[in-house]
Amino acid sequence: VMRRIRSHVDVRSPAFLANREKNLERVREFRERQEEARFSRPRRDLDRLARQGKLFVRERIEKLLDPGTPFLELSSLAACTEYDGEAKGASSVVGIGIVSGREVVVRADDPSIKGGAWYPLTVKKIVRALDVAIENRLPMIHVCDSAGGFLPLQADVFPDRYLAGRIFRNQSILSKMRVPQLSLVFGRCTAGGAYIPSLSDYSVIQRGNGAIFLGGPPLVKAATGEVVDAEALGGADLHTRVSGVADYAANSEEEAILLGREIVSQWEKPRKTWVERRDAEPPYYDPEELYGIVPADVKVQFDMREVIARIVDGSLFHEYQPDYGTTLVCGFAWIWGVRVGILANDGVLFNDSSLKGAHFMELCNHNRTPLVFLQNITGYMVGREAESKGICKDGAKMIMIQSTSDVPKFTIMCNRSFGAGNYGMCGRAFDSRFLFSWPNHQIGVMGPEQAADVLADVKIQQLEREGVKLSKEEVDKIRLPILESYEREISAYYATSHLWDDGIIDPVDTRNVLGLSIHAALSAPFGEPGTGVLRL
Amino acid sequence: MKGYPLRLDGTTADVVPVHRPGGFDLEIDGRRIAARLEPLGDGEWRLSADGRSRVVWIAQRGNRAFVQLDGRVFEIEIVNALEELIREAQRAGGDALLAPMPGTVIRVATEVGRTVAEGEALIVIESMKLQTSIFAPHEGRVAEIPFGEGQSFDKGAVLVRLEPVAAEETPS
Repeated sequence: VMRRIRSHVDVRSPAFLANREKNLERVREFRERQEEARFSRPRRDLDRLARQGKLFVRERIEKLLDPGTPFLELSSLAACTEYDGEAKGASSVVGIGIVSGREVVVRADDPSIKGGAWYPLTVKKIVRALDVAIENRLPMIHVCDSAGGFLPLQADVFPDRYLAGRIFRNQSILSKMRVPQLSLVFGRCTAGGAYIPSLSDYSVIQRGNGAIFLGGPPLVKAATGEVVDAEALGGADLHTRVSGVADYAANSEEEAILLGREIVSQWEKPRKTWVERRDAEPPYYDPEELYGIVPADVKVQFDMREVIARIVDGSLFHEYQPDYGTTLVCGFAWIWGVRVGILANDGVLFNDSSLKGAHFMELCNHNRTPLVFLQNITGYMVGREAESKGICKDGAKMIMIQSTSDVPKFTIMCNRSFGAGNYGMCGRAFDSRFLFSWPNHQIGVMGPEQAADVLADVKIQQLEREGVKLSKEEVDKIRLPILESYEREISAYYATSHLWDDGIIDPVDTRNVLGLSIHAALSAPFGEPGTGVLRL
Repeated sequence: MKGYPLRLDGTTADVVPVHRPGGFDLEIDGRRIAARLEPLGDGEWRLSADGRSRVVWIAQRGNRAFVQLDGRVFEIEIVNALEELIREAQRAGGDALLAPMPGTVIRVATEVGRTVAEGEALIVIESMKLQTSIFAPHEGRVAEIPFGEGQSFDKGAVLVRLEPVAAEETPS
């Protein structure tokens, strides 16, 4: 009884083919960078791991997960623009997978990079992984093999609210929520790192490589003069027979992983939160056509209904208020059999589109319908007409209702996210359970051209007050570095490198990524109903 | 119409399924027949109706079902009544395509008097640094294009006016 979106895409048109070529190139670049971050390591580091009898981090995870089940990796390109590209994936692997039939967050140190040392963005990625576990009530498995904080950058690793201490705070909170954690200790857990297994409900430590201590042998020698080797100071037998710091000893990584799988199989299976469901069906229109729909030039607008038609079950869409506030497309659909409310940008947000969005989100809250935001937003409308109609208070209504929504939210960055539109459409600050970006995506407070104009104007006026008149060359000299830094910082790679999202995805995978994300999110109950004061 | 409209070979029938133990009655345009459908797996079904029983293969894509019976394939369209009504109303009336935001005309892709199909691009506009194509929401004849290339317009201005195409001209 639901109508199907009628696609107007001509798959043979020159524009479609040109877009397709450009987007395939974008996806190819993304896949290459992802492959490199996942697998490319210097020979000597891999040899060292082999000598120590250690599996590569990806093999550890593969053996841990149930065979043939999907793994939703998060932030595979974290830190890709920082530290000279050294800390691939921010030296850690995080994702949601199935272990012994239970959805869990897996977080693994990557000892093939600087001994698994934590860079500032590694800490951000670990804290985010624990936030994912807390927000969605998902059990967590830590695969520990880290040298500890990366000392040259300790000021950005250690002291602040969301730095290393937050890892242990989050572990404690997760445990208080009665959500179990397991640590597999495959390397040294020194200093702060020692608290990860110590704060886990269960831990397995491998004989030989595994060790847990507050101070390693060199520190102990320096502090007390005591000479002791790692095994005697904090090895498997000490902790599982004497100290009680760890629960089980294993002779190999494989044994530890199998033991871990058996431990997880004792855990309670979460009951999913009730939502409206029906049998899933694939989209009527081929998701591959997204490549021809997303424009080669980010400035060209495209119809988000064409995108929705390639994400949702049967391409079925019940559009809400189709003739009002038309620059925001709102409506109900099903993704992998779960009913969702979709908000998608089809132009700048005006007063009417903001009000429509706010009203639609209220309907979804009352209807227990998770929200999906498809962002392609250059901002709220500016100018005298919009201001006199109160665009500020209508935008505020949208932000207020969105922020206080009690249903889970999911965001996909489809093309551009500039200015306050990012806020209304559930940007990173607004606690989407998951937020993913397409490779073409750009994000910033404004576009590079506008930023260069604004900042150059400020400088010109300041100098004019001092009686200096600038030539065109001198103005360009001011504009150029601004343009360059903005161009660099608005790219999807810069964003994902800094964990402003949970990862870049191939547009074709959007439906599956949303399906897995929504399923994971339903492990937690919905929030409390109610909202703040709306400026009417 | 009180049931589900199904279309076969250009003819629309009104079908009401009435469930009863062990199967269902089908009321087709007022005539009632007892039917039963048992799954045999892989799209194969045993269909019993009107006292006869045979094996059929059924595949569905969107709102179309393909039924193979006695070596012949029947294509049945599950008609969406709401969609039909909206399309009829659109065919009957012309309408105006309004500017979603203030901006400038970049390109006019059609001309007055031309008959356009649903989904055809008519005009490209730019505003707030975004280029947007305006498409025909349904078929029609272009009656008016008030703004030419390079001209600017306000939000809500008519960009293209469509009028209905006389029935005999409708391209099929």
